[in-house]
Amino acid sequence: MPDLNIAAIAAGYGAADVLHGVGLDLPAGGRVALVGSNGAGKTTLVKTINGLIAARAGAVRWDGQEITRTRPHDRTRLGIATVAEGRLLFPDCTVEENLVAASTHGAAKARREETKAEVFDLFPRLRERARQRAGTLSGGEQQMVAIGRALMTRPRLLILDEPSIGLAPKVVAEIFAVLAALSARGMSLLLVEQNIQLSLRSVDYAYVLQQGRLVLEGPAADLLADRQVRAAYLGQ
Amino acid sequence: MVTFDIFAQAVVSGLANGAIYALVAVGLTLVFGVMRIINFAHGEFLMIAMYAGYFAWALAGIDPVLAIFIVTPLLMLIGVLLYDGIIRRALAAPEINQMAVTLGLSLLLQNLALMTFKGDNLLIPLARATESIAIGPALLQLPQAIAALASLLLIAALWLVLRLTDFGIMMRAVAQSRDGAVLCGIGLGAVYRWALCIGIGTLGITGPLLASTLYVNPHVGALFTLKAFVIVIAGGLGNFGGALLGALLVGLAESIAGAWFSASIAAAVPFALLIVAMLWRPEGLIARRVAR
Repeated sequence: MPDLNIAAIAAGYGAADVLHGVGLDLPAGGRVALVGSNGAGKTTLVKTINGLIAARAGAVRWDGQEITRTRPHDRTRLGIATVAEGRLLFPDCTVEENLVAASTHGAAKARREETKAEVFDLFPRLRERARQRAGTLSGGEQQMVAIGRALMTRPRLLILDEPSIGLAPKVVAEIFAVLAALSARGMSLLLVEQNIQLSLRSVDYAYVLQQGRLVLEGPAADLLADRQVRAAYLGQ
Repeated sequence: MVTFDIFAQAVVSGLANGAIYALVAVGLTLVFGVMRIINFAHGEFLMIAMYAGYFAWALAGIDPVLAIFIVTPLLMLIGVLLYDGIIRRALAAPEINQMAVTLGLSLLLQNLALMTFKGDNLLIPLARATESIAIGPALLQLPQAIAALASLLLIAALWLVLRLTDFGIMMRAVAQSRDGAVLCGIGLGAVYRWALCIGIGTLGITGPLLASTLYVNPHVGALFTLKAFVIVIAGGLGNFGGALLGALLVGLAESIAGAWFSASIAAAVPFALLIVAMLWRPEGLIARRVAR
């Protein structure tokens, strides 16, 4: 029984559908990548999972419960956290305030100090920058705040939309090391990336999205190894 | 000829007025910052608070300073009802429709007040209105001093709440990134409701205190809405510090222009200031990175 199950999702903006019947499974504690070129619909799929846009057809199920119509902040409270594309930080708030903002409800609030200490252990640089306004940080540090903020909600699933974009390789390596550590602790990961090599190396299973349809799926190692697949779908 | 004493008097009265404007403007800017809705009826809620203060005194003999504790909860309740009854339904509508809604509400409330209370000017004639505090060579009427002080204290309290409490951080988070806040598990509805509750509720303090220094009539609010707009736009929409600075500047400029030239010129000063501010710093007096 998968933890996250998406079935036959259609969704989009305005009159046009971006996604045409997309399905995806993510087992508890699993690591799944969603890859595809720009405009394939990856971010749209992320938004139908976290609820920022409503699915027009199909179902999103989480932990055996249908959440297709659940409001986005309630989905966060159910354990689905998103590190959004563009990060969506609160730039005029300090790093610490950004973390606090994500722990104002239920268990996340009760365990705020504990989680904050965990986040600071994962990203020691954030502890140094705790009192600095998020908008003044470097891109890599902002990405760390975004991940830390998502962790403050005490999720079971972390969705990351383009976490490596625009960052120096050293910072990307640092962030992916943290993701590996989180996965080792049992966190489910859904990784959305344009950097296909990187994402396929970091996950167990991958889906390839093209023009709003899933065109391929399989164990990440198989996709990486298959030259034809790489040529046809992964642009290599 | 403007002597130093007259100038000093103008500065003191101007700052006192500015402090009162500031609280009105802060309520407006809070609602805008959080909800991105321009509440053209803001001044009408001030008008209602002034009437409430007036009738608390006229019917029950309640001193305006005490009436605050009745009128503020009343205004907070009105803020909540405004959200659930009207604003919530207009949130998904285009901005122009939202403006039409609050503008319509403003006209409706003015005319309801005119029907209910007639157009008479009402004032709470307090015994202490004849008492003044000397500030250097200038004098400040006691009721005005109380209103100014209360405004500044409340602004300071609001600022602390926004800085230090979870509740304040949630409001600021929503103001800076709606989607970011939602993904943090923050429910927008609750935050919007509280923003209107507090934004309108602050007028419950200004209203009764103002009713002893300024005539209440059905149109008194419109004047404040206009000035508050000038202040809020000049200070940068949604910017707290900008609103305070803008309010003090508008109060000062108005009062000094009144001393120098005439009352009719003084009335034009806020709008002249707005034009200058827009030309000089279109992003607001205190520059702020735009969050969206």
